[in-house]
Amino acid sequence: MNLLNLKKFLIKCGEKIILQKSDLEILPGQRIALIGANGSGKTSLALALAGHPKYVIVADEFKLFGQNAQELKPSDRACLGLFVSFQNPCEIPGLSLYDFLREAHKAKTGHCIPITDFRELVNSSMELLGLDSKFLYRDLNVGFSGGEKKKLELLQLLVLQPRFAILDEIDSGLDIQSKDLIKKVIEKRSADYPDFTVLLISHDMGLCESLNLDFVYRINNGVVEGHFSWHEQKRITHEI
Amino acid sequence: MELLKVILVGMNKNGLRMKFKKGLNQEIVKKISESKNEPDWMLEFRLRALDVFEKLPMPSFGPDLSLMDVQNLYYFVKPIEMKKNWEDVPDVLKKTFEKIGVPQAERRFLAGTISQVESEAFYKSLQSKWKNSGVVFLDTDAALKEYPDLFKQYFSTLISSTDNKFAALNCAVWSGGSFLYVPKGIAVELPVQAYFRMETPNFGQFERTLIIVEEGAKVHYVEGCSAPVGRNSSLHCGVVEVFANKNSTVRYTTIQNWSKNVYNLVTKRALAKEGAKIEWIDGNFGSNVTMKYPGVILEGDNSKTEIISVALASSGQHQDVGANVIHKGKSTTSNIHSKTICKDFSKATFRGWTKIENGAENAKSRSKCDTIILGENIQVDSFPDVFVQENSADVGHEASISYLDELQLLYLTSRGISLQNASALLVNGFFDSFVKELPMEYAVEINRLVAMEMEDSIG
Repeated sequence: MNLLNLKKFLIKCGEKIILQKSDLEILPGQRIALIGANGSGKTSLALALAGHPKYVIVADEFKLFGQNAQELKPSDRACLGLFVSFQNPCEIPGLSLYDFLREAHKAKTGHCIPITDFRELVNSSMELLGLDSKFLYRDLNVGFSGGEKKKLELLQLLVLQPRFAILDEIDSGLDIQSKDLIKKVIEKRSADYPDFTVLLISHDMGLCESLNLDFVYRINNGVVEGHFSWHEQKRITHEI
Repeated sequence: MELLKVILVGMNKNGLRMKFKKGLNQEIVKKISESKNEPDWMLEFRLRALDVFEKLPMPSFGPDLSLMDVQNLYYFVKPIEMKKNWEDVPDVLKKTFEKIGVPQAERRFLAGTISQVESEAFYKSLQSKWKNSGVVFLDTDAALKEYPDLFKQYFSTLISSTDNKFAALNCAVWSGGSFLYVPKGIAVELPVQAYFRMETPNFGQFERTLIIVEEGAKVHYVEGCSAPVGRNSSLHCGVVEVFANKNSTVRYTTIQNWSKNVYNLVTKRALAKEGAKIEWIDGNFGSNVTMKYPGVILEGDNSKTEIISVALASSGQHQDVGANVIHKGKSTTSNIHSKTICKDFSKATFRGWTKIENGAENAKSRSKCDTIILGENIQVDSFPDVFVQENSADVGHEASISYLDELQLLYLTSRGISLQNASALLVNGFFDSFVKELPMEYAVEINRLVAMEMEDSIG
């Protein structure tokens, strides 16, 4: 079963067509990069897949985890195992990181695990990311630096344990030392769940290189082009 | 004296003892005073106020009150006598108050409590530690008898019967409420709480609260209000006067969750002497119509006030709330923050009224008014009035009206949280600066209340 099937799709925001005449197919366990110039529509695609009401996907077929995704609300998609990290994570005043994680974990898993087990999960994840546990009692993303916010996205990934993660410029804002964390988190998740699938949106060639990508999609003139192998992609980029 | 024409003696399900005929007239006022064995001056005060009430016009602004019929209300209902022990309270009342969490809260986090149903309090308590240090926490009726001089010195000096029509009504028929006195230098560490409940349909509750805090003292008074859902309109028309003497700190927290057939028309005012600090934490969730504009007079130099006012207006409700501040002293500071959530077919009005008088040098005033609208057919108004007579004044106002943020909702729902829960989390977050000022039990209750309100607003 494909994780994601998008046949002859386009993405509209209002009257504006952002992507068109494209196909996208992702299988369980794949690691894929999506590249393209700034403003080419990478983030629009990520938000549309998350279920942003303003980014409408029109497609001959749009399936997520084998289900008709047009009928799935953002929360349904997440509960099935989709995780979309935000390029600019939202600040939510008055909602603590801890309460948020607890609520999301409960919603995602459909039940409330004992508090000690939950704390164990959160603490070990924070440790892996080198995050101070005091952060748990601060408001979600409020007053955090750009890099810290990205680490909090990775924290959510570790806590929510998705089957399929779309990581939108998760590396931007992170310092060089912290960039290794992305690989660490992906490897950790793959070790726990071998079919863990990643769609990485990034400009960082080093990061792409280090992740043993299966192939690369590229957005060119509003069309998603694929499937290049990583080496093919490098050659093409080089030629350009 | 046979003035006391009790039309209902004996027991109903609440063990009802005393209920006067419907309607408002001199005879009813006399009967109320008589039943309480009041001194003559109080009866005269009441009768004068009744006269004023009849002469004053209805408010020239705000919600439509034309459906409220003052002659169709019971003005005095006394279900039970004051009980010394909680165990002696009749089961029906005990169950109601236990359901609301009043006695449990008393055991866990309060220094003292007063519980009132209908016109008079039926239970009061104050920890001996505070009793011994001279703190007085009584129902107002008892205070008039036990502390007549102190009572007379302060009573109705801040809100007179001529203040407004409903203050006049309260002055005429007031009954119950709480009387709190904190002597010089005493800091009452735990909050004291009064809980007001209305059970009788077509009933008017006119509690009168007097809080006097002496020099350097500190206290937190919490007031909760509720009523079961009924078919007939009731009126809650309280008057609250707070006196904060030199360098004292008073926090007044009030949460009203009246049922949606109650007219809630209250007058509340505080006087701050030199260096005193007054905090109003005002939460309006229930009622049909609420008109409530807590006021603070910053009389003494360096006195301060912080007013946090929160309202949730749902279908058919009109929350007409706000705050009044008068700066008289030098270097006085006021901060007003109002937060409102409006659901389908509701109205919310914010009235901020700030005056900086001549001579109030270096006064500083800020007011901020944020509204989130959920749904359609909503009317939101903000009326900030500022009168400045002093050149050195520093005054600011800002207001915002918005929907719940689409991207924030996507962020939360894209983590698996349902749209309904995500909305409740955002609304709770919006109210957080208010909720975190509350005692824990109240905070939990407000979060639950918001979650419940969100349930039927998002399908």
